[in-house]
Amino acid sequence: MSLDRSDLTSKVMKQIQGRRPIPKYRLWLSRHAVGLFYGVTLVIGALALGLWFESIWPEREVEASIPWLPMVLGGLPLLWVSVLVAGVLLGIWVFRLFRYGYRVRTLWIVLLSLGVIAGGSIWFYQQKWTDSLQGQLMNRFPVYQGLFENQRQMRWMDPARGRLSGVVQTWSQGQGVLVDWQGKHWTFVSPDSLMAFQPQDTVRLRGQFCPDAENAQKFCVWRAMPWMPRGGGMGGGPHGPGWRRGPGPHGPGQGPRWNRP
Amino acid sequence: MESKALSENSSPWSDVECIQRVAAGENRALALLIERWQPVLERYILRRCYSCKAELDDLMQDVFLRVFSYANAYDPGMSFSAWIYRMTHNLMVSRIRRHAVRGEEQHFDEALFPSHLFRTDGQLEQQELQRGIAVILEQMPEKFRDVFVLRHFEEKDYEEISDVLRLNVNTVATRIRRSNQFFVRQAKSMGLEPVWEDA
Repeated sequence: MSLDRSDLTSKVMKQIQGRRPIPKYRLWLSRHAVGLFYGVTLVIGALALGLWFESIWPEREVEASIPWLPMVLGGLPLLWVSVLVAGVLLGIWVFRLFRYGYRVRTLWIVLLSLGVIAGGSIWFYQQKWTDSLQGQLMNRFPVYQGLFENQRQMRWMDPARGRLSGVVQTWSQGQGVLVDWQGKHWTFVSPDSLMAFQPQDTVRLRGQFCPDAENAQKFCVWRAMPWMPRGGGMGGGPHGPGWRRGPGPHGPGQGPRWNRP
Repeated sequence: MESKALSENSSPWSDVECIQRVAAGENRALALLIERWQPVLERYILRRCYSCKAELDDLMQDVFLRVFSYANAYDPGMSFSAWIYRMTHNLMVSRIRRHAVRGEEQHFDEALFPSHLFRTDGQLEQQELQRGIAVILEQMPEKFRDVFVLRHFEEKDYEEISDVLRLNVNTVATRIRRSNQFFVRQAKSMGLEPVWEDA
């Protein structure tokens, strides 16, 4: 049965004799450590998304009637990971540690977190931080470069979807042979005005299988670009000299120097 | 409310002043809090946890030791009552979980339950009505029982319940509504007449 008041009081007072309550700084640390972790997660999420922009944006020329659709579809797995991480951390943070967090609807906080991740990634991309980070990663970690280049090569070995890349073997009178990254030979047809190909040029081509039956196995090119290894940031590096992203001194939308008229 | 009345009558220091003094190292202020809150919290525990009677003393000690340890964590912007109820609730819930694992005996004291939730027509004695409430509570799912006890017996408002249970206010409202519905359904099946027909 319950103690009477004096009993309980004396027992408790005896136990706290010579002790002090937990100091404020320790409470503050325990409360904010997870919050800090959550903040870092948001930044990492934004950087990851920014790196994805960085890797995908220059590759995806406007090719569909809804230009942003492939971006959104391509980015869903990454966004999902961000949602998962942010959601779980928020669940812990808001409902266990943040003092009045439980009064706020979880959905709003999750949406806000995603907004911060998406907004942050765009900001990082615009500030060219992700460009620089990608360059650093590629320079310091060959594995990253390998993975990245491999993914990029795979994307550009899909002639059925209009993308082909590799090394030019021969070229004469508007027709040439290209060896792709897996060693497969392709015959391509390209107007002379498009690009003056030289043997051993590494190129990427936009186009489609030629519509006429005679050339059905040939790849008709409507755009040709040199293959530039990505990464390395601005002002030289693996992008090669003169590569730049977005509008520059030559006006908006003109893109890389080698692609300008 | 009883706790407020206690706070005002028994000492020149309010609860908030007491906890601030405890935080500043004045341990004797804790004795005042014990004096004020022990009966209130004991009653709350016994209403909510039927298996806690045997361990009530230990539980109360734990509550006040935790109040002492976390005195610096108290935010004066929050109701002290909600803060101390939250600590009590959390400790009680962990005990309930342990009891559930060990399959401990349930025991309730019907005198702790007010009979005002039923209409009386004079045929049933108050003790029977109180027993009816205790039995319905025993059958009620845990999450509904939490809000039901806090709302109808401890007379907390929605915001305070939200602070005690760390739930969104809308969730509290929903759970109160559903617990009321459960109560009405069970009461009717026992031949009792609740004061409200439908929640």
